[in-house]
Amino acid sequence: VINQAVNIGQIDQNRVLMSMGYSTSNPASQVLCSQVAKMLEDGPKEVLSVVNIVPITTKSPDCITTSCGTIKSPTFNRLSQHADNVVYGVVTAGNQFDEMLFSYDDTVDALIIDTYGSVLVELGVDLLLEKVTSQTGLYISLPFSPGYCDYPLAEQENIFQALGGEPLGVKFHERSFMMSPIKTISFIAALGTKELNTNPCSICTLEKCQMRR
Amino acid sequence: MKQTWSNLKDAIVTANNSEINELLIGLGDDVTFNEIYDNAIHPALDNLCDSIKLKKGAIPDLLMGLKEVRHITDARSDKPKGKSKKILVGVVEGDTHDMGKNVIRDVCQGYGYDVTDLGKDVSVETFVREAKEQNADIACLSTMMSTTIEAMETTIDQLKVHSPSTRIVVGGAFINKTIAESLEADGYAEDASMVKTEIERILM
Repeated sequence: VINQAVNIGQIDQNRVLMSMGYSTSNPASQVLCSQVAKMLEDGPKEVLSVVNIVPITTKSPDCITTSCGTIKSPTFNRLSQHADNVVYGVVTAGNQFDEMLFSYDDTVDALIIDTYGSVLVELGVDLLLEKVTSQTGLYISLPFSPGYCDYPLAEQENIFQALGGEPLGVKFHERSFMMSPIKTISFIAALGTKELNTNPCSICTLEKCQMRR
Repeated sequence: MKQTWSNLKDAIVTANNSEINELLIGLGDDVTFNEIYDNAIHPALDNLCDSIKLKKGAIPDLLMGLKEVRHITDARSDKPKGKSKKILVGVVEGDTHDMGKNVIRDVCQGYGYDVTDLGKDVSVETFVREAKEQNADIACLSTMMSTTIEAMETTIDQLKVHSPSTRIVVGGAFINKTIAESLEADGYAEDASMVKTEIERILM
């Protein structure tokens, strides 16, 4: 289990604006762009991460098993067809980010910081996976989180167990599986010596899913 | 006068605070708040909501417009009469994601409804108690997650039993029209731009 801070560096303003619903054909106002730019300048640029790379022990049509438990997701199974390992991971912006999030009375500022936090942890996961591939020299799939496609939210528990129970101080609600701190992503990814179909969305039937990639 | 109303409406839409201040000074006490609401605020908010529906704007534009509406309300000595309808908003038990709920609260307030924000992680008992005590016309229930759908279902069931006159609108990332219908909610707001239309439809 490897704990490390991930430095995000410069965050693209357009990525935050796109997450708010803007695009090149629907651009944000100058006023909003300035507010987002200020938030990007002042906001935190680092997230905390933890990963555990665990060999796959058995594969069946409906699930795959590692020493950390069974993953009951046919979509992830298909994605892991040529994989040898599962990467379990958590990336969090931490409790300080939550405190900052709850400190804003102004709804516009709160929405900007909320979106900024989401983008921050998403970038953290991307950078972490890049590190895993460069350090192992293996191929990796896109991250797959509980609740995506057919991966049950209840399997949040397995990810946490694989990372020692309460990784980085992150907790989850026993019924809703909601994580605290709020700006946290838990995920699994397939890792192997052969090139993988990296995008789970390409084999998922939820075509209208808002998280489709 | 028509031009002034149009300018004020546009200034709210573009969140042009200095323009709004100038126009308010120009209007002085010759007009009532309700005239400002009918001629500028209401059309401005409709315009902002329509832009979101047409993907020519986004939620932050609406929020910035609402901020200017609050600014106008605060600047006026005569307070709005407001709509007599009472609305409760809250995130159901087990969920603490309240960004969407806060936006809905602001939109309803901007449109002049009498809004009570029950907060996040709100128990069934609190929803029922407040709906009964306040004789609420509408309860807006929000959740972002699929796992709290059971809490939403229980809240709706209990509201229907103990406060049958309260109509229920649901919304949140996980909710869609089919889920809203299966929950037997009276209405569904896909996003903040839809909530006013949905409330008006239900209360008709």
